[in-house]
This record gives sequence, C-alpha cells and structure tokens, in this order.
Amino acid sequence: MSTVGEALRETAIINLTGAVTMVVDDSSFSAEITTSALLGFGIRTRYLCRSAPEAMAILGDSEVDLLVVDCEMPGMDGFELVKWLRRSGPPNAFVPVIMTAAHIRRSMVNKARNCGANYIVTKPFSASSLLERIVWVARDSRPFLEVGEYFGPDRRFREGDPPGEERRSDVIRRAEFEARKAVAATEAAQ
Amino acid sequence: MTVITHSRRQSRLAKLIDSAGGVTVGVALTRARENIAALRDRGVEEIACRLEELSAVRPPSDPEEITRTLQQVYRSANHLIDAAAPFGFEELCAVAISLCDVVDRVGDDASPDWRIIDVHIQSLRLLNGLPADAAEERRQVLDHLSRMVARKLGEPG
Repeated sequence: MSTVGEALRETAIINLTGAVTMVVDDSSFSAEITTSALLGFGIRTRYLCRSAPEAMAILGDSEVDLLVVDCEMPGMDGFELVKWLRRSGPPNAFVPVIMTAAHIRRSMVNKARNCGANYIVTKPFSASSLLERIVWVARDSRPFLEVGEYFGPDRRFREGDPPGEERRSDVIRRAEFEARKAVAATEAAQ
Repeated sequence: MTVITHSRRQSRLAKLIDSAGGVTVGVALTRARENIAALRDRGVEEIACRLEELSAVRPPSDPEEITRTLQQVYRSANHLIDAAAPFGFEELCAVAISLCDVVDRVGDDASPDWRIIDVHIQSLRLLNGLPADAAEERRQVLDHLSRMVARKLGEPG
C-alpha cells in the first residue's frame, strides 16, 4: 500500500466501504462527479451539502471520516469552512480533509495554505489522483500544529530520510519485504 | 510564537482502509472511471448551460455592478471547468481557466476591459461548436487567445 507522496499500486487492496464521507459543493453536477468517483472506490457519500452552513450544522455533532470540500462557493467558501472545522473541537476537528478547486484566485493562495486542509486537488483531477489523495490522507501521520491563526496538519514535508538509524516499523517492514523479493528474484533468475 | 503540537492518533479512515475485505486499487479506479464516463452526456449539457450563462453576461453600465458581474463570470467559468474537466475537454478547460485568471486580475480595476472577457466567451462558444476532429482549429483558437491575453495583460494566457 502506498504511503504519503507515493503513487498507487494497482494490486494494492483498499477497503473504504465504511467511511462516513461528506461532500460539500455548491455545484450539483460537480458534486455528482465527486460522489460517482467515490462510489467507484466503495464510498457511499453519507452527507451531500450544497453550502458551508449546511455542512457546519451536520459537522457540529455528527462524526465523519472524510471530508471533500470545493474551495469556491458563494457566501462562506470552502477555506473558511475548513478553518472553522479545525477550531470546532470534537468530533471532527482532526478529520482528514481534501479540497477540490477548478481555479484558485491569487488572493486566495494564502487562505488555501492557512485553512488547515490536508490536501488541495486542482481540476481537472482524475479518479486516480483523487484516490491517491484519499490514501494519502488515510496514511497522513503529520502532527497537528496550532501556530497563531493556523490550526492544521504540519505543513512541512521532510525531503529525504530522517537522520540516524531508521526506526519506523512500516518502513523497516517494507525494506525487509523488498530485500526478500530481490533475493527471490535473483535466485529464480539463477 | 507559541507552537502547540497535537500528536496524531490514527484516524478511523486509516483503520478502515486496511480492514478486511475491499477491492484492489485497479478495480476501484476502473469502477470510478466507468461511473464518471456514464455522466458524459450530462456533462455536455452542463457545459452548454454554463456557456449560456456566460453568453448572457453584459458589461455593466453601473460601476457598482462590476464586482457582482465579474463574480458571476468567475463562478460560471468555474462550473464550466467542473463539467468539462472529467471528460477530456482540455481546450474548453484551458480557456475557462484563462477566463478565471483574467477575472482574478482585472477584479480590482474600476473599469476592466470587457473585450478580453468577451473574447474568452466567444472562444468558448467556438470551441464547443467545433467538431471533435478539428484539432488544428482548436489549436488556432487557443493560440489567438493566448496572444491576445499576452498583448492586453502582458502575460501569456
């Protein structure tokens, strides 16, 4: 299975059938595209909201596992919704959030960076890029930071390996698996 | 500045994704692509609908209407991208994105040049009316538009 930043393997198995998912989009057609893609992944969208206030009314007391929000909406936009969500406390302050955008205004770049979403997917997005982001948010182990106005996942991605000996169990397991596979392939070739 | 770090507990999504059952990524993607492809006719209708909205926009005579009208153009172009993008209408998307860029850039002007917006809308209508195999004509429309944006706004569109 892929980790954050890695491409998906076609043979990897995922189970998303039980994920309580909310889609927030003012365009009914765009929402239908998103929910159709999600359905292909095994996700039945539980909550489909046409505006931020409608979503807030549900998010205040119903726990969700995944939120897919369009950035551009009349009135309260997607960025403001996510910013509110991160400060909303239980049950959903830490929920994985993927934002979708057809276009991001220059004046909104900072808002997009500071709202606290896990990822922003710009359109045209493919089914594979959406699924990739869903797997990434599921695997996202970044801590949440509260810094001034910001509340959300740590925005700093480390390039390269951490210093010193590798101690992450999943990385060690994967390296062992790859090593065994390489040995088996060499033996088979001989 | 004070930094408060909340260490992450594994989300329910993380537990679910590795739970027993499910499908391969390949199957999930195939199903998703089939589901989206089934909406193609609706997408074409939606594009036509958004083009009608854009074509109905008239340059406002009242300065107070400028912001509202530009917002309307921006939103319609956004929805057009939503409808066109999943079905590979790349040229329509490119022009709609250029239109969003233009609206974003002229938004602060007291008297924006509406001809730039009009040319974008005309280009969208032209592209939508061209047959699927008119690749050269599509390229020409995009080239002309790009040159016009570069001339008027100083950057390639």
